[in-house]
Amino acid sequence: MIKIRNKLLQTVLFLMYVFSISNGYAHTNAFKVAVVIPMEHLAMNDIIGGIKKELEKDNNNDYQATIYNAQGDINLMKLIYQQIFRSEFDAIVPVGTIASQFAVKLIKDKPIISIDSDLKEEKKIKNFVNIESNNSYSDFTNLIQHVLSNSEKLYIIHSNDIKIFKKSSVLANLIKSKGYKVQIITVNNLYEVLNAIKILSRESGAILVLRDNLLVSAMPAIVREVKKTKIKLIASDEGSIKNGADIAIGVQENELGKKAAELLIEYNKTKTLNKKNSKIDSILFKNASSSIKIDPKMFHNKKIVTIK
Amino acid sequence: MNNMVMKLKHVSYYSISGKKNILDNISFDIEKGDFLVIIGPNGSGKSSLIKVLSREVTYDTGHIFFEDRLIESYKQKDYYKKIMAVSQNIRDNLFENLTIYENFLVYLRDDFKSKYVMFSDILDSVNENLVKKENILVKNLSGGEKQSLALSLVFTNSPKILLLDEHTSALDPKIADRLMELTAYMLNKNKVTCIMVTHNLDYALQYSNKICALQEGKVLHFFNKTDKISKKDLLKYCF
Amino acid sequence: MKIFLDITQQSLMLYPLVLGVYISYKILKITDLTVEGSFVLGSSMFAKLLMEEINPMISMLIAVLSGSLAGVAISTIQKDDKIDSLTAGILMTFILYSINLKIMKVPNLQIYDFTTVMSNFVDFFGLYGELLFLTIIFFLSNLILIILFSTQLGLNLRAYGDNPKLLKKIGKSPHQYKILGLCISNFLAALSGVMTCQIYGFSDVNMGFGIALTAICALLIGEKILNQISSDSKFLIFKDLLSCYLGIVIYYSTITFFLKVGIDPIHLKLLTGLSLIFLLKTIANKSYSNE
Repeated sequence: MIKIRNKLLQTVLFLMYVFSISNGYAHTNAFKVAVVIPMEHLAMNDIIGGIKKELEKDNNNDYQATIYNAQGDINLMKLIYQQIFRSEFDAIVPVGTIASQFAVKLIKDKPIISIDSDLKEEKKIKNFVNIESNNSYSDFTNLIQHVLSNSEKLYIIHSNDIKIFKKSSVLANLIKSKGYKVQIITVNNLYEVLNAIKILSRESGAILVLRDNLLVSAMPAIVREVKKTKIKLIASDEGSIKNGADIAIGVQENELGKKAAELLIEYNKTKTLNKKNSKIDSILFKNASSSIKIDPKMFHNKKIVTIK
Repeated sequence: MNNMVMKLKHVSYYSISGKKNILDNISFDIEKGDFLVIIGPNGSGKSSLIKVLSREVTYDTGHIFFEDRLIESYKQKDYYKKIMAVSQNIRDNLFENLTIYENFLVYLRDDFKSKYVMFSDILDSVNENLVKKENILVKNLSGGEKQSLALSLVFTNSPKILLLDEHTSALDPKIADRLMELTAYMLNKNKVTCIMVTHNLDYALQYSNKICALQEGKVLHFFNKTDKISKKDLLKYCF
Repeated sequence: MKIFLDITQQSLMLYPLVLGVYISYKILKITDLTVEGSFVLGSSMFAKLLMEEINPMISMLIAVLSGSLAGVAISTIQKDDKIDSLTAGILMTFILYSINLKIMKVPNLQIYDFTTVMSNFVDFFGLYGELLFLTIIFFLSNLILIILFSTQLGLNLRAYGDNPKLLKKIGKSPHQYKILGLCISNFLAALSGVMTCQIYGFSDVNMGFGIALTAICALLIGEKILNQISSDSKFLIFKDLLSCYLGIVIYYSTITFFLKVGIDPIHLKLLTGLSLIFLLKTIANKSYSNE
């Protein structure tokens, strides 16, 4: 008898815990947005912050943004999408290629405003638009020429994200054609990243990190290792500069979120997705404590922001 | 008609370091129908001899012939059809998580039309109740039932030689006696040659027709039944 | 209700993988984590062949057969028992990661625009085409195992798991049975990978992450629950197949339930783990009181 009572008590306590950490239901007339992120880090949070802040600016309408974090687990992301489908959201904002691939495959009749994905033929899919920075490869090659001397080598470290993978290849070839030596290092986890940097500790030159979730999420550790060497660290987002990287060309993450929110608000009003307004101009971010000197004339019209 | 089933000629087996001879220049013959018992103090090489004969380990020098061919020349599946080994823990010869009938089916090497009849025959001679329990998992049998089952199963493929490595030593004396009786009965019924290692000199005298005494890897004495040895003699000469 | 369809879809998708792990873990009693690699091998091979405009059915066939090749490879690595199965499985997963990357040439291949076997079913049968295809594969996988375990071969596989040394003593080659078992096991894992690729619409080199654990969890849950009804009895393949299916359904039902009540996915893994421990402990206690 006591055993059964104990078991029942345990079950009740357990369920209470479950419900206490659940978001619960919200029956509102708000415009419901599902934001799906592949993993969490500072830059992701900036994107989310940008979305939320911009949505608040629309005084005429209510918005409810639910954030789903797949924690690097592709199969979990699939289950999340099943839940999203059942919950009848009004719009989806997937961040990254895999989240966008799922969205396009599984959500047919709602607008999908993806951020930073590599989906090809996005023009063919009716309700889909991808927001990304206006980075041209020439911005990077310009920057490399600023940062590296001819004898120094460029190391591009990246993970197995398809978008980064492709970008790295193209960039490497471009930079090689300018006469520089380039080495691409592929990593699968944080340990491999730090190991790679340790191996390079006696070299000089620069490490380039693109908008790569794995590396961006580990930036503080990467910066710590790189600071032990003579290598300069070039990144592609503002957050990395805040974490200590030398210089970056990219967008402010919250701008990406802001743009997504703008499109959402517009869709809410007009019920059409504005595919033309999806690119954001990139900015040159410089770390105030970095020794790299920038000649603004080389980067015509690019905004330069120095971060302490 | 050649009655020699097994011949050992100058067989030696060295330890890993090469310093000690686990088996040293062993030679003897085994005829069909023999019941050879191997005795000797601990460390004399008895178990190693069985392991060499069962091809669990490879001997280093000399030759061992089985039916006029070197034992290495046989394919594994052919050799183990003719030579069956039973270790100290007779339960190692059973699949505990299969049923009795399933054990029999796994043991069975060739395809027979009337498998069930064969199964009943084999088990009947050992323990009639086992046939009725054909769908019981072996692990749910009693200790005694397991022993009788293991003993009957080794005869499934009509082996030519049975190698027994102290297969009764872990049992109570009464049970050991019964198992030994059963063993002798089965050997006789199936006309199987047997090589048995034991510490029990009574068994050696009661069941064997040849006794081989080992000491430090060498054959110390080789007795035939006709030599009319007593237990006292064995103790005196072999230990 | 949609939620049941979702759970069914997910469970059927991963069911062959659970069967594969059942064979290696429960039958052969080998802890083989290669399935994480073979799962992705199936999906990457399938995606790549589709890209090369090979017929979808043939692509499927080649993809699942490549899974069995992985099974041969892993059993060869373990041949002389110098490397234990756990280490070998982890090594094999590493190797397969590189192989999968080499096959696809990129970390992620999208097959959204290509005709697959599943898309054919959907075209022909409409909305329920996907479920129909999954159900057919479900029955096929079950059939393979039912046929296998009604033969001497299946019996020998079980004997291998129980006492491989004895199998050698009797004159049957344990290594051969290990190869066969791991072939079938990884074949099934690759089959799950192929199905997953068709449902997801892409193949990604990181898709296998955590999948072996999911399968083992499902196995344990199913086994625990069905042992309540009858333990210590004769081997019944139907019972084991049911336990595999129950296990994966309960696993996904748990996660889906948590997502439905709005649990933040961050807490999801912790909660799922706790629930499973809770479930397993409750059932284990019951079995003690029965004795």
